[in-house]
Amino acid sequence: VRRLGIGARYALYFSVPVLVVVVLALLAAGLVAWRQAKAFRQEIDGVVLAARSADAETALRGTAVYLGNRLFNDLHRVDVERLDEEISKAKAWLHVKSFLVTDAKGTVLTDGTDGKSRFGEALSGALPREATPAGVLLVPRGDETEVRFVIRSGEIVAGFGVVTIAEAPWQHSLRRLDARTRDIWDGYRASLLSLGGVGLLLALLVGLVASGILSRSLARPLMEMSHAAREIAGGNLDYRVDPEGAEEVRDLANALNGMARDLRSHERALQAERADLARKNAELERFNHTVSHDLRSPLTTIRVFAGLLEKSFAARDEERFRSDLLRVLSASDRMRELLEDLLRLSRAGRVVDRASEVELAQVARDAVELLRGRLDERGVRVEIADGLPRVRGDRHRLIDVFQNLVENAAKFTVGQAEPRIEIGAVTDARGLVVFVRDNGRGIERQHQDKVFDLFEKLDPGREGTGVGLALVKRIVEAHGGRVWVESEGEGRGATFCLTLLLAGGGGPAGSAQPGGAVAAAGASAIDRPERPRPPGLPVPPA
Amino acid sequence: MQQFRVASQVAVRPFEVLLVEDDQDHAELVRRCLQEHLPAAGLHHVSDGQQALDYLHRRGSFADPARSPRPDLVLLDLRLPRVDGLTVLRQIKEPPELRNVPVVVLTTSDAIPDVTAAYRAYVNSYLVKPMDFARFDALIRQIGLYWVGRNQHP
Repeated sequence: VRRLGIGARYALYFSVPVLVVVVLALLAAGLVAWRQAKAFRQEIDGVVLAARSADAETALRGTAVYLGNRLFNDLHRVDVERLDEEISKAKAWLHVKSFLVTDAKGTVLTDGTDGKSRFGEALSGALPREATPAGVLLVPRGDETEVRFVIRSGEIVAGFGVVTIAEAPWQHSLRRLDARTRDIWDGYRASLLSLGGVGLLLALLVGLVASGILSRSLARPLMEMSHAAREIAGGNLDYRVDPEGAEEVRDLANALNGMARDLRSHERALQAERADLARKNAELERFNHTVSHDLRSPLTTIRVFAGLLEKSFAARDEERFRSDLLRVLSASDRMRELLEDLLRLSRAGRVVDRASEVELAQVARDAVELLRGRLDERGVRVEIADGLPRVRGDRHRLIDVFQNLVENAAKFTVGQAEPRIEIGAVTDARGLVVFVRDNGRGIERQHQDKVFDLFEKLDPGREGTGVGLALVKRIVEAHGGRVWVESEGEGRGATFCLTLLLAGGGGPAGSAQPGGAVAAAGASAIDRPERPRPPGLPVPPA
Repeated sequence: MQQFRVASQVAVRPFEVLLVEDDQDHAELVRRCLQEHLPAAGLHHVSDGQQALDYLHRRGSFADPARSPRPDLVLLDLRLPRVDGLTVLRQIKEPPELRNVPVVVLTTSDAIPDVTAAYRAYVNSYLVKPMDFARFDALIRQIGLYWVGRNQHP
């Protein structure tokens, strides 16, 4: 049965009971019809029999009375010859098997034949008495009917007549009626049977139609769905079923589609998570690699120059001794600095309280204040724009961010006649974008992605370990924001941008895409005219 | 003093070394060791990958062939500012014009991915900077011996 497929199977399940019910109903109807027909026939038989037999009996009785009167004289005179003559006459109009005439005691006198074979035979059985109506007694004997009648005149009984009629006329007509009703009944049965056959055919037809409908409305969507389920299980999570057919089937299809959708989104989330993990893993590996390499570098210097110190000491080369000692000291300083920066970096990932609200202007002022000495030393002017908003974030970490960005910008402006750093913010479709802009040497486009990498220094000659911008990136990303740099290239200044969440609302700052509008002022408008200049953006320092 | 003889023989034709090294101390070290063992060799030092490529392609401040001769050997550090060492290596080995310049990576990293990546980029030799003077000195001496004394170069 399982091989038939669900449509045929359901059709079978559906049509077998229908067939059984139809057959049972037909049988019951047939039985009832049969019984009713039978009763009907019996009733007809009874009524006809009663009517016919009454008629025939009356006629027979009349005949018997007539014969009784007619035969009296001859019997009274015991004129057997005349009796035989009368019997012959009577036989001419009455179909009889035998015609006996007896005396008053019931002894046969004549049977109308020449042989007189039954002469003297005593008649058995009852004889009609005076009490018998009209003195006629009808005795049925199998197919035959015996009519016994008194031959008399007034009160004088001469004897009795016994006529045996082969078949009562009513019996004959009854037989004909019976044959006729049997014919009718046969026809009736045939039509009943053909009706049953038609019923069966109809049931079969109903079964077939039901199979078709079921297979269309139930089986096909189900098969489609099982196909879909296999597809989905096979990894094709974008496979969808057309919801059609019965409501329940549509519900199932929708549930299946929903499941596939959920699976797809779960898979996407998992993939994103996996990618994120892989990225973090690679980052960690790179970090370890970088750290080991960058720590080994000053260590090599220390160890090798320590060896050289020994040599120059032995050679009494005081000048070289002194310069090599300086190298050892500065390498060990660099190592200490590196270790401290690494420690800062690892701390930067732990943002204590990124939900608290802080005044951005205050954060920027605090950061600048921490660098005041070095900035003044280099004559760098820092401008903090008015109306900086309140943002969400960890105050100390944000100060770290601005301190590093300003320090970095100050490094970039070395050699500028009028070094200037500008801190501002714009709010656009990406949310709040905070920027730190300098008029320094700028960053070529091919290096713009690398500046945030750990230990990545664009200029090996300048101070610093290459940790600062990595630290900025780490803190901003821990706040759910992004950080990027925009620069039109060498000598055209650089703008470091980061997204932050405005205090008291707004979506995630991480939704902002890098490469935006902040640097799109002044000269950049020529290079990238398609980018509209954001309103209220300060013109970059010349 | 066999080695010295070999070195002086070679020195008939000047031997030019391009040192790509961002760590000034390490550069000084290489310079001192080379001066001692290969006094005839010309040493040209650049501090980052971009400068190395500019030197090799004679761009910008390296346009003068007299001051920036084609090197017979490139000593390349891997971790470099701006353009890293592997990129420099690929830029030397991929286009045909610089392919036959021997490149020796001289770095602090002994990480297998770095070694593999360098060989994938057709490096000629990969050497790790030793962490004491005697071995550092010996290494530079052996570089001179091999690349100047033994190795036939184009």
